[in-house]
Amino acid sequence: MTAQNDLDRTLGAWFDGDAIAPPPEPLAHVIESTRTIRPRPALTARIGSRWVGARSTSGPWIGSAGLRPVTVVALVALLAIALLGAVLLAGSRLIAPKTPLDSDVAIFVRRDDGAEPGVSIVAVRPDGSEVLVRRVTDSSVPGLGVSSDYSTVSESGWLALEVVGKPHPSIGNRGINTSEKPWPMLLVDLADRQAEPWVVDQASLGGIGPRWGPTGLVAANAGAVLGSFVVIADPETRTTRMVSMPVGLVGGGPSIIWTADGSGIVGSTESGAYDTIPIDGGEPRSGVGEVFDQRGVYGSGLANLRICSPDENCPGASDGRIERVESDGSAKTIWQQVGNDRALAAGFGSGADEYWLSVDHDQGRQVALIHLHDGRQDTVATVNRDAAWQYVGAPTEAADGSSLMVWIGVGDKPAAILVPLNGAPPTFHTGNFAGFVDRAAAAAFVSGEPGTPAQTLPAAGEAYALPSLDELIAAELRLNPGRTVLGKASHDAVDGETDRRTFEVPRDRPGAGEGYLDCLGPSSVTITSGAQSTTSPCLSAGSYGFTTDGTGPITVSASGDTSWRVVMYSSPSPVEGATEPPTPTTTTAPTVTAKPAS
Amino acid sequence: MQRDLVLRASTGDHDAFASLATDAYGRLHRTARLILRREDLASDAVQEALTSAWLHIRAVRDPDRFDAWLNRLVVRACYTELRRAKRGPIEIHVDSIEAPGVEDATGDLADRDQLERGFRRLSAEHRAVLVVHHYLGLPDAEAATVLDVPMGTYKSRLNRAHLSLRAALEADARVAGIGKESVA
Repeated sequence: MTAQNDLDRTLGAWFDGDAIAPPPEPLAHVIESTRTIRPRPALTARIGSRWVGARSTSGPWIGSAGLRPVTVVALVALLAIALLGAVLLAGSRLIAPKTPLDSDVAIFVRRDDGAEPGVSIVAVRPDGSEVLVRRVTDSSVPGLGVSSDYSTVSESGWLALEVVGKPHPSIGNRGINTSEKPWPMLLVDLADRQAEPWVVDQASLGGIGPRWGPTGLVAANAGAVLGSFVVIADPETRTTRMVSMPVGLVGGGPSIIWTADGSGIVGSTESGAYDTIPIDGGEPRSGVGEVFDQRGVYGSGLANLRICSPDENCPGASDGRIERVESDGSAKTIWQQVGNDRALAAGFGSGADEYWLSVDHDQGRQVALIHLHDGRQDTVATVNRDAAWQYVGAPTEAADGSSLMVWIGVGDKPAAILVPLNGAPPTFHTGNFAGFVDRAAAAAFVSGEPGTPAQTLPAAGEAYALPSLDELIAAELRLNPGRTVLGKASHDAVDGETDRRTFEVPRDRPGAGEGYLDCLGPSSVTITSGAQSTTSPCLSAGSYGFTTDGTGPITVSASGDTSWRVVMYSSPSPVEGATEPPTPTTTTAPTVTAKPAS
Repeated sequence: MQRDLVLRASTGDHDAFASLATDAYGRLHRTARLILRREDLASDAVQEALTSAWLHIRAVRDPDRFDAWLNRLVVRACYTELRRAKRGPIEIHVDSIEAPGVEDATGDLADRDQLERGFRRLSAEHRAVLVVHHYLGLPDAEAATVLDVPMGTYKSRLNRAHLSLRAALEADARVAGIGKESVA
């Protein structure tokens, strides 16, 4: 049994063991207080929660209240001087490359827990060959704990690394202490192999990734609980400043988003509106304009993209179209599915109304990379899919337009494919893709270095694959030992069988419990148990849960060209089950393939 | 049944809403308490979520997704409560989560106090993703919706949360080990 499964089981047991009845007063208060008010009209009530609460304009703003204009001007001038100095310093570092490269290079970071644990920082040259730039071992930054492969790189070649698990002598004894920051950031200069990483210990990343801005500064979460402060670090001058965030960071889980000019960070108010927080300590401004998001998740005005698949809450049909959703909730269709090629992922490009898509092709054997721009749709490449790919992300374009990087999920391991846009073959690379470095900066650490050949893609595309029923059951029983399999069924895709049929899942034994649907393929799968119905778009691996009361049939509606697995289990009993090993009869149960219902 | 209640509530039937709120209250409160680790904040968060649910019940276009919508509201309300708590005087109420038998069941991985300490060291969004995954047990797509993040972000955040919790537990164990050595 793995340590991860132990942790999963422990958490599940701990959460489920919390049997304290909630106090009745809050519920009574809500019911009483809402009795005399009416729901808002539908036109002013939007799905989601961005309207929750009233807008607050009275939050603390450290560093701005009471500042006189002359002080503000002086601060801005100092900032401009600092930025100019940073640019000059950066420039001096960039003007002496060994040999000019012809395009930007991609940076990957790989965690290695071998004899000397640490991370390897690897550059991928335009031809796909890999160069080990440097290793940052855990022991090279004493007292900080473990470097994570979660990272992001600036165009000038500074890598921001997250450190996980900084041991702090007081935390174990005193519990939460909001002044402590156990997740510092390391900044590594890729151009100088001898330079020690700079530890920005004001940062407390805690899973909120640092973000490089357009002017070479990096912003990182510095709040111990929820992003109330952001630290801005300048790697060239090794200076930092703290910026108070009177509003939350963007998103249900916070993300740091820079304004397009690098002058501020975007924040989300309690009412769901957006403010811009200047990093020079100026007053927050309402609204948000152009943003700088290298990941392509957010567009101008903090718009985002959604694919209207069956599990997405789009109004209207779940027809696979892609919508651009503005921050006010309004949406417009930017891409419409034609035929069977479904959108897998979408991201914003660097220009206005420019988007990059990953789209199914050839019944899932290939991924088409599509560029939407200027009202046109160009398929810039198709790559052969590997059966092990369980998730395909949206393409990210290098700043010089020389290549695309597409994030791939292979089990728990991150990876990506590099797709040169000059027609050269795409290559596969493991590790966490940190971003692209400008060719001039990269020449300092890539030119002339020996490289290792790239890993190429399959010669022929491989359609979707799913783990077997036995593998899924074994994984579940490792997580929740003691569960009993109540029933199971599976189907493996058959090319060309596009007719939709309904299957009944046979039961091995009676009883209520929970079930999981896994599917992967060119069409969606719907599972129905009693009045409950769940539909998975089968775009990526992962289980959809459902419950069964033990009565009535459980049916699966799917086309024959999509693979699916359904397993029903008894409800977990964490405490009892945790002490019992899995029963051999369930782990070795033969695969049962559902028969079409009459 | 729930669908009918949601439809009735959306027409202004407060009794239907009260029934929905009562059914969901236990789950929402436990979710909030697990994320916030404070009873008082959890109560506030649930009140805010339920009040908002009533005010905006007419925004629910799909009654079958009412539970998911409520989950989303309470997670958002938790974030809001944390922001408010950060602005005011910090009061740390150590509300232990009773889980009899967990330490016995989990053997050498972590006892309940260790788990409590490790969990408290996580960021709110890491706690939230673990609660949504392990306590609410939502499928990935719905969990991502509840947390208001893309699927890829959800998966990577869940992975990070696991790593962070493990690191926190290991750090805790190291601190405890150092303490024992110095005492000896």
